[in-house]
Amino acid sequence: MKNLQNTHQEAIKSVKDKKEAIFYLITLEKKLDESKVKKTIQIL
Amino acid sequence: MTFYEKMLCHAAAYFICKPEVFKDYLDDIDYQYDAENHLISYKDITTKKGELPFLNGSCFHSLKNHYIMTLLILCFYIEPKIYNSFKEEEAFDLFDEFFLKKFIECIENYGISELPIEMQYHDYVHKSGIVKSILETYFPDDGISIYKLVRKFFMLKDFKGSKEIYIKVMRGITGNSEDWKTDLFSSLDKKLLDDEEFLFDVSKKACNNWGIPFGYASKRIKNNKLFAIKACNISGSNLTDFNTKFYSDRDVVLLAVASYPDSYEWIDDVLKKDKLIYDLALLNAENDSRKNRYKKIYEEL
Repeated sequence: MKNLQNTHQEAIKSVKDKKEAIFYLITLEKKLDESKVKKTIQIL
Repeated sequence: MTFYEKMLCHAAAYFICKPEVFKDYLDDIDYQYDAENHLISYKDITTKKGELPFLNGSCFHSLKNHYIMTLLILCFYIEPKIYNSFKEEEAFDLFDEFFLKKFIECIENYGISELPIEMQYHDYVHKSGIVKSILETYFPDDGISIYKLVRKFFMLKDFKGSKEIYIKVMRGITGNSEDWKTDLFSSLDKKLLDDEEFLFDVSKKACNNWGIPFGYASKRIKNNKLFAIKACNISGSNLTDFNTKFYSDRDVVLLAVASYPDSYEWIDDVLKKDKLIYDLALLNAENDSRKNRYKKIYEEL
């Protein structure tokens, strides 16, 4: 998790424009969805 | 699960305003927003509702969601006008009232420490209703920075003219009081400082300290005996905020000494020798040392 945090920190700092920024947010939002699905499967 | 939510909020905050850029806003309360200095705006997030549902909410949900509230507070500070577009999107009658409640809660509880990470379960929300670890990179928890939000808040037309909101904010936010309350009060509209109803409401319901409210009142208020009597009836310490002519007015002085015996020190020498006033000061003295102090003054005259 620590590695992921560092990668995230570096990744957001490398974003240069609005398009990239929105793309990064949408990617994270999708990951959030995936993790929710995984969590639900685990619970089930 | 919380991990991705936090990452998303952190990234959005960073794109909205890098902490190094934010410093200019924090150092200068009047620093003007310039879209060029920011990668995205809050509007860019709200226009992507379909793709960024987590960062968009509706009505109660949006302000109850501590991630959204964090972003809103950040955006609100750099560009207070964002509040109006946010409010329009919500189209919710009690939005102002609900926001005000969350806003006060955020500032008042900001200084409370976050739980250690290992104890933060997925539903953990800091008492301030925002994600403190993210907002802290913008507003350091130094007991000063977060209160700058109040000044920004009253730059908004919707709140600037509202007496009720002034009182609610002054009453609800107690931390770092002297600094931000005196800053705010000295910048109030002159009309409000000449409004006795407002000043007495502040005095009774919100704050009666550090010269607030009467030290900032208009000349008309400060010269009026009726107001001086009423104010000294609330607290005798208010005597110094009125015209010094009342230091020799027996009616005003009697009330002042009755509720705040230390005012005996400032009153006119003639009244210091007045037996009733002197006895009243002794009767109300907080301790023997104060009593001896009044005795000394009386005897030296």
